[in-house]
Amino acid sequence: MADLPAAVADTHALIFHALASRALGRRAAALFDACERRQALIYIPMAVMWETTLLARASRINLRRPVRDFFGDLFSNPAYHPIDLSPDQLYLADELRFTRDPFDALIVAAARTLELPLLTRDSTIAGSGAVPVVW
Amino acid sequence: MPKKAVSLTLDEDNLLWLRGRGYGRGNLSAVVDDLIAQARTGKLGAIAPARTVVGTIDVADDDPELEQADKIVQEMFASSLARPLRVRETPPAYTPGARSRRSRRRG
Repeated sequence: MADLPAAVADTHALIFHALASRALGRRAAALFDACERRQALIYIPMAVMWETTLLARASRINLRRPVRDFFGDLFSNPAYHPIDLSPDQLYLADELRFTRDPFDALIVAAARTLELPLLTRDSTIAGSGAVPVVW
Repeated sequence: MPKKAVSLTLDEDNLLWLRGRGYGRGNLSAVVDDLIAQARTGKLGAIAPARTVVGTIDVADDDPELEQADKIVQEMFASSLARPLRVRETPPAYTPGARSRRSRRRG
């Protein structure tokens, strides 16, 4: 089952991918590209979906369609999967005391639960050692 | 329920999706079993053709690399948490002292 490259995406990583932005890190971009070719798996935590929604609501990004349709498009590719928020993730997020960011804690917890690296440029997360980071 | 081994030939997209759903669960069989159970109870919808989100969104001109994104979202939480929590409780319709003779009985 684990023969494909796989990772969990942080919010900005997903947004940079959807923007086709060069701000996306080289290794993260390679994994997203592999997903577009159906050769890798990327998991999207609920916290990332909600943070994307909030950024759209605050007009920091424009999804050009309702949030439901944006994620509908994303998950129509079988390489992308939403991760349901579980009580275990919430407990783990509470135990991760390296960050006060409510979303980062949940996103890291999701990656820890799946035992997968996190696609993020966040230096606080990378420095914490809480989860392997790919960027 | 007894299990029986079968050999499957699947569409590549469907196999990829199954692998994704089964990550960390150890085997495809459990995922396929779950899906069949859902299909039998009518919980599955139709499959839509795959689409890409690449190049389909825009970002604010003043923050193309989302440097301020965390701050903006955190401020939403801060303002939400700063609001006073209003709790109204309706007093219970209970009058003390009117206990029945039965409730006072012992043994």
